[in-house]
Amino acid sequence: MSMSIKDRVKSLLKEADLYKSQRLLKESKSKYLEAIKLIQNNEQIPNRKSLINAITKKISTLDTGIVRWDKSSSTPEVSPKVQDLIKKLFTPEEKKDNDVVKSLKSAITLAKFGQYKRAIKEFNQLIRIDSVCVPAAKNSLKCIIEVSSLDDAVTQYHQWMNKNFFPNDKGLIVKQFLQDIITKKGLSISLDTDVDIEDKEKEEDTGLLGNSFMDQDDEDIIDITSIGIRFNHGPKQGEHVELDVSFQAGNVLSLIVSSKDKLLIDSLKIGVRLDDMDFYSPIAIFKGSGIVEANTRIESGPKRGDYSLDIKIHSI
Amino acid sequence: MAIFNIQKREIECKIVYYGPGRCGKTTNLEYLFKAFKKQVTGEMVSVDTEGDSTLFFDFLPIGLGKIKGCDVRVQIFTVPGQQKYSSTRKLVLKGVDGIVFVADSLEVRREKNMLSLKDLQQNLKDYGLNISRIPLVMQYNKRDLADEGMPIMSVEKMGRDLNRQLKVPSFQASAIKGTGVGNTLQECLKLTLISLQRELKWSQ
Repeated sequence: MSMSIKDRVKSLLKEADLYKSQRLLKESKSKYLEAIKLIQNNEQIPNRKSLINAITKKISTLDTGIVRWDKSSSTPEVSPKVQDLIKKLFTPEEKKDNDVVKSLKSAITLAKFGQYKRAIKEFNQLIRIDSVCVPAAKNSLKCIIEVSSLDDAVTQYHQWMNKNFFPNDKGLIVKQFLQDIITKKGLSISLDTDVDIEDKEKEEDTGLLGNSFMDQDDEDIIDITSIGIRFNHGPKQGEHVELDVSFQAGNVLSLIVSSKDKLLIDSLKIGVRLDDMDFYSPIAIFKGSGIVEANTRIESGPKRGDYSLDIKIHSI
Repeated sequence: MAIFNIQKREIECKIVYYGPGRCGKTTNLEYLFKAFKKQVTGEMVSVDTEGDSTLFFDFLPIGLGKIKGCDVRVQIFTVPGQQKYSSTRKLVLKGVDGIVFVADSLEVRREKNMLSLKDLQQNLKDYGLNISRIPLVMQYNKRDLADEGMPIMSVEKMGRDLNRQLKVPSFQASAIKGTGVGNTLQECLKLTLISLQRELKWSQ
């Protein structure tokens, strides 16, 4: 074996071993394979077979590790102690929150981290409390779907209804929520087709509480006709301003601000977060927050000189 | 997002160590935990897998003492770097005030570095933050591997890949040996506190 080939094989094996020690398994495997190829292409190498066998065994060990990694869950249930820490570190807190709201928010945090079983337990404890029964039920059902099945979620819903868990029309809201999920999945499970929700119950606390923890993509953004912004700092501090929505694309609202209102334009620079907003729709007013995504001077047309703003709904 | 308690004169801010899988984020924190024990105000917590990869996060609370009359506390987190943990990574990043981007100097990890930076940029954008406006420091980790004959990228190459447009402070490091780790965090804290000072409008 020439020195250069021998050195090259040694170097590849050393590299592979180092990557393995760093748990860069795929990179390690790639170098072992390169070494095998080099040995196979050089007949003068003594003990080629046993060398290749030895390297193949190393690759086999790596493959086991790679498969185990690929199959492992990205959100396994962790210990209660870690779950408590997750709740403590990642649950958003507001001074106005009472204990019930804090409990709901922390259960939602658990669900976001994939700790569904514990989240279900905590949501189910909150379902009996009138002020949070709807978000608790919605989130519990979502968790059941994640960890178990839609059928189990339907079963849970029926159990609640049979025991009259929900006061007034709140059961209808939960039913509609679950029915929408069923419909989106293209299934024909009917919960109760005779009831039509006409009045969507206005919830004072929106954002996390008003919706489930589901991803943004799952939420349907309602039609917003105008917005109200309460300024808590900056040049417009203390003022409440209402603006008409000229156009809506998903959760981005376009508005036009007159050039005469310089203070307002200055208060709505790109990146500004608006934490105290009202969103006016034909059926209700919703509270939430938004972020200014664009603030551009209109250069032509009848609105020339005015400013076009894009506000992205952050939570509603 | 930093928490200001004006009455108690307390500030708590969040620093996140970001980067591709196995680049040394946890190793950075482990070194900081050992080297700066006096400043550490609690236990370091690691939520990891059997194979020692970060599963959800590492967490290290540090107290910086009084700065301009305010008690400053820092919560340092790492995120899991592997692609399959993208949703968890985004959750941990929420509310960040300052970022250390740990890049892997190994040549074979070049693409992973760039993908991770792009991922960071997108996650920040989703939170309404601009990567070019948030306090950010680059760390080029694993420089020590050159001594073992491993193929690593030059600092210039890494700068071109990752820092050409951002132009943020960068540091060479070997987290496993501790070199560059303290300097990286120090600079990130400095930038973060300057940014918070602007937000608070502290007067001289």
